[in-house]
Amino acid sequence: MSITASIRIYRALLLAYPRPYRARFAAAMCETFGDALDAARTEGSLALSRLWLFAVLDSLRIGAAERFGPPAGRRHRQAVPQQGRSRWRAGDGIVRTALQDVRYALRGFRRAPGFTIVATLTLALGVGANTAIFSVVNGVVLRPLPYNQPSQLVTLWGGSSRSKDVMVTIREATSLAGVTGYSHVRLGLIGSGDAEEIAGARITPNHFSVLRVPPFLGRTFTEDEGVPDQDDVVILSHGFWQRRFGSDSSVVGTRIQLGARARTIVGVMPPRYRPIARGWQFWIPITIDPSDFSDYAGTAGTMLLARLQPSVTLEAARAEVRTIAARLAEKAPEVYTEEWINSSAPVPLRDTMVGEVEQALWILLGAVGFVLLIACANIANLLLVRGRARRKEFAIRTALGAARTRVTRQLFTESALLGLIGGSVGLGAGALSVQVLVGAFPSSLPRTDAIAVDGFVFAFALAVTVVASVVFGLVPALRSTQGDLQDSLKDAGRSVLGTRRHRFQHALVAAEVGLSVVLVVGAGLMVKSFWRLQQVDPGFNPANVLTMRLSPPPSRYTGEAQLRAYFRQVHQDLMAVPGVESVGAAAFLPMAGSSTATVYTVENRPLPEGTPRRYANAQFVTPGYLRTMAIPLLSGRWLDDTDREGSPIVGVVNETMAREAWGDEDPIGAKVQMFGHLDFTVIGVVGNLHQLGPDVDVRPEAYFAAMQLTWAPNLYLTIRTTEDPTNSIAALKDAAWNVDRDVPISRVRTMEDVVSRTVADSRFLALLLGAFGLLALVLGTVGVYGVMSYVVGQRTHEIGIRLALGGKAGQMLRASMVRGMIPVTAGVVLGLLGAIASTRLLSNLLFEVTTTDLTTFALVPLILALVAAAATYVPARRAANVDPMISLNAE
Amino acid sequence: MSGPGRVPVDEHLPLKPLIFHILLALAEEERHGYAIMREVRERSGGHIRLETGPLYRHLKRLLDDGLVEESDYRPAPDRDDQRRRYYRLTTMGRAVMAAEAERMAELVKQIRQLGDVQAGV
Repeated sequence: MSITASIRIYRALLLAYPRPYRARFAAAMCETFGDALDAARTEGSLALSRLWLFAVLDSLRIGAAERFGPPAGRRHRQAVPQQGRSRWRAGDGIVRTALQDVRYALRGFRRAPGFTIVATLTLALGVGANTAIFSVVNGVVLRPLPYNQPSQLVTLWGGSSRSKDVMVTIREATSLAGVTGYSHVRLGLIGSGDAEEIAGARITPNHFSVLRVPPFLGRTFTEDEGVPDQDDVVILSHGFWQRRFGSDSSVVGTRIQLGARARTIVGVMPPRYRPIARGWQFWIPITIDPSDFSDYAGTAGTMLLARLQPSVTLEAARAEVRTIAARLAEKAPEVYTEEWINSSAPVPLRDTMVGEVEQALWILLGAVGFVLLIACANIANLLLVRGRARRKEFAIRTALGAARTRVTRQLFTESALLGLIGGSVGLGAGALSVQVLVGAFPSSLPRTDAIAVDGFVFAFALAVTVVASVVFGLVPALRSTQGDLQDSLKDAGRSVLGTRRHRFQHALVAAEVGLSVVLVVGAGLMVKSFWRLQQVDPGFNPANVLTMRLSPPPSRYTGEAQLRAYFRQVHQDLMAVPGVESVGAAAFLPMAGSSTATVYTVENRPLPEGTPRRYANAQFVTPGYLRTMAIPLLSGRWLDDTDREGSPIVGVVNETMAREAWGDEDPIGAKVQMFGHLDFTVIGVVGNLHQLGPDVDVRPEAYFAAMQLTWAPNLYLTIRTTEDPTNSIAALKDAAWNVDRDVPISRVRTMEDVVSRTVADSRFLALLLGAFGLLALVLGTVGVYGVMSYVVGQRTHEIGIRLALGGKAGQMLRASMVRGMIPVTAGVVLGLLGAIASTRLLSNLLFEVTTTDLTTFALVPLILALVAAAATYVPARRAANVDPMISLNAE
Repeated sequence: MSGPGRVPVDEHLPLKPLIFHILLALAEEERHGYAIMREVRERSGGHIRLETGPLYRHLKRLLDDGLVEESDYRPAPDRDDQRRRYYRLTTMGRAVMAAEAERMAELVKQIRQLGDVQAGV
C-alpha cells in the first residue's frame, strides 16, 4: 500500500473524532502519522501492524472520549483525572454502560497488543478472503445480466443451431417474443492505421431489439439488411469507436474496409452495453436468402438466443421448441438426430454464459468459508484462554457488586469489537485484493466486468463478521464467567480436574482438524488432477515453437493462387530469419480449442446398419508442420511439396482414425471421403495429437495439404527456433510484413503458452484451493498448538506433583500426547467423513482422479495427524521437563 | 516563584509522567508531532511509546491550558515540509515544568534520606 493510500485510510479513521477536533488537528495528525508510518516501514511488518492496531484503537477510544466525555476542563483533568471521568454523564444508563464496555475493551486490547494483533489478523484473513471470493461470486453468478428483463433471455440448442433452416423455422414459436442468431467472426480492418484483426459477431438484424438495447449513435440493423448484397453495414462497439475513430460521431455513414468488403458504419453501441461474448468490437448482419435457406450442416457455430414472451414459462417454451425441432427432424432425419432434438431445450442465457465456472466459484466460496470457521475456532480459543486468565479479575468485579450478566456483556462487547476491527480490516484487504484476484483468474472467467465491491458484498462481509463474532465470542463469554468465580480468587487458576474442564477446547481442536482435513483433501484432489493434466503428452513438442496468425485480407487476396503464392513467400522468407529451424502452418492451432468435425466414409467399408456415423477433424497444414511440431510419423509418408495444386488429393490420418476405420489393417492407399465431396487417398499415419486440449480425448483426425485445397484464408504459422523463440518475435513479424504490410498478424504466442492456457482453469483452481488448504493447515496447527499449550500449562502443577512423587518424565509426555491426540484423531475421522461427502462436488472438475482417490485420502490425514502430533509434542515435552520445584512454586 | 503566578502553576501539579516527557521534549527546541514522539521515546529509553492519537489528545489539553503553543518556527527550507506544524513551550509551560522538576527533586531527596536511614540501621 502506498503512503498516500495509508494516510487516506488514517484520515478516514479520524472520522471517529468530533468535527471541531478534526478541524484543529486532522492535518497535523495525518502528517505525524505519515512520519510514523515511514519509520515503521523500515522496522518491518510487526511494527507496521502495531502502528495500525494502535491507530484504529486510539481513534475509537479517543474519538469516543472526545465525543461523549466531559469537556476538557482546565486543570481538574490533569490534576485528578479520575474525578473528571466520574463526572462523565452521557445519554441514559444503557448507552453509558455500553460506552464504558467499549472503552474498557479498547483499553484491554491496548494492554495486550500480542493477543489483539493475532486475533485481528486471523479474523481479517478470514473475512478478507471471503469478501474477495464473494465479490467474484456476486459479480459472475448472482448479479443479473445487464439486459432488460434478463430472465426472459434463453439460448436454444445449447447455443448452437447448426443451420439457417432452424433459425428461420424456430421463429414460428409463439412462446418466443423474438429469436436472434449470432456467431463469432474475426475480420481484418485495413486502412487508417495498422492493419489489425478484430473480433466481432454476425447477428440477425433483430439482435439488439431482442436484447432491447438502443444504439448510442445512429441506428441498429433493419430487416432488409439481413438479405444478401444489402448487408454492407456495420455497427461498432463504443470502445472500438473511441479507440480507432477517436470518438468522432461523424464516422456514422462513412465506409470502412472490413474483411472482404467495404461496409457503411450505421451505428455505435452505448458504452455500458455488454455484448453476449467478451471482446466483440463490431457487428455485421447474418444474411439469409429468403428464397433459399437450405441446410448447411457442418458449419456449426450460429448460436440462437431468444426472448420468452412475458407470460410464458420455461417449461412451456421447451415443449413448443421441442415440437418444432421434431417437425424439422422428420424432414431430414439423417441430420437431425434424437440427440439434436433433445438439445433444443431453451436454457436461461445466464446459465449458458456462466456455465461450469459457477460450480468452481461456489466451491471456492465454500473453501474460504471453512478457512473462516477455522479462524473463528482459533479466536474462540484465544478468547477462552484470555477469559480463564482473567477469571480473577471477573471475580473481583463480581465481588465488588457487578452482576454476572454485566461481566458477560463486557466480554461479549470485547468480541464484538474485535469482530468489528478484524472485519473492517478484512473488508478493506478483501476489497483491495479483488482486482488482483480477478487479474489472476484465467481468461475463461465470464463477466469479469461485473465484479466489484458493491453494497451487497459489503452487507455480506458485515454479516460474515457478525456471525463470526457470535460464533467465536458467545461460548468463551459464557464459559469464562461460569462456575463459582469466587473459587478462582482462592486458587490461582490451577487445575487438577483433568480433561473434563477442557471439553470445549478439545471440541475446538476436533472441529479445526476436521475442517482442515476436508479442505486439504479437496485441495489435494485438485492438485493431483492438475498434476495429471500436466502429465498428459500433448503429442507434439511445444518447446521453442512460436505461433502467429496471418489473415490475408480477402479484399486483396481474391484467388487461391494469390493466397498460395503469399504463404509460399512467407515460408521462404521466414526460413531465412536467423535461428529459425523450420516453419509450418495449420488452419487450426492445437490446444487452442477449435477444429472441424466432419463425417467421413471409407470406400468399400460401409458401416453396419444402425451404427452412428463417424466424424473426423480435418486439419489443413503445410509440409513443415510435422517437423516444426515434432509429431511422430508412424507409417507411410508425410505431406510434401509435391502435394500441390493439380496433383492427386492425399491425406494423412492420425493413429486414432487409423484404428477406428481400419483396425489392425494398413490404411495406406485406402480411399476416404470427407465433407461429403472430398475424396482422398491415405498416404500415411501419424501419432495422436491433442487438438482440443489435454483433457479431451483424441478424436480421429485427417491432415490435408493446405496448398492443395481450398481452406479458410487464415493460417497459424508455427515456427521452431533454435533458441527462445520470444527473442525472434520482432524479426519474424518484420519478415512476414516485408511480404505484405497489409496482412494483419495476431495471436503471437509461444506454443508453450498455448498449452499452458489449456490447463489454466485447473491450475488456478488447484492453486487457490491449495492456498486455502495450506492456510487451513497453518491455522489448524496454530490452533492445536495453542490449545495444547494452554491445557498442558494448566496441568503443570499436577505434573509437578506427579514428578515429585516419582513419576517419569517420559510417562508424563506420553500421557499428555495421548490426551492431546484424542481430539485430533476424532477430528481426522470426522474430517474424512466430511471429505467423502463433499468431494463429490468436485467430480466434474477432476481429471483422471476419482473423488475418493485413495492416495489423497490416506496421505492427507497422515500429514495432518503428524503436524498435529508435532504441535502437541512441543508443549507436552515442555511440561514434562519442568523442574518439579519450579512448577509447584509457580503460584 | 512568588506572587500571582504561583497559584496556576501549582494547579497543574503533579504532572503525569507522559505530560512531563512531552514538555521535556519541547524544552530543548521547537518540534513537530513526530519529532516529539521520537524524542519522548528516546529520552525514556524506549519505555514510553507515544502514538499519534494520544499525542494530539495531550497536545490539545496542553494547548488549551496554555502550557504549549503553536509556533511559526521553520527550519531551513530544504529540510522542511512547509505544511508541518511546530509546537513550543509557553512561559507558563516552562514554569510548570520547572515546578514539577522541583517537586520531583524534593521527592528524590526524601527517598534518598530514607535510604540513608535504612542503610544506617
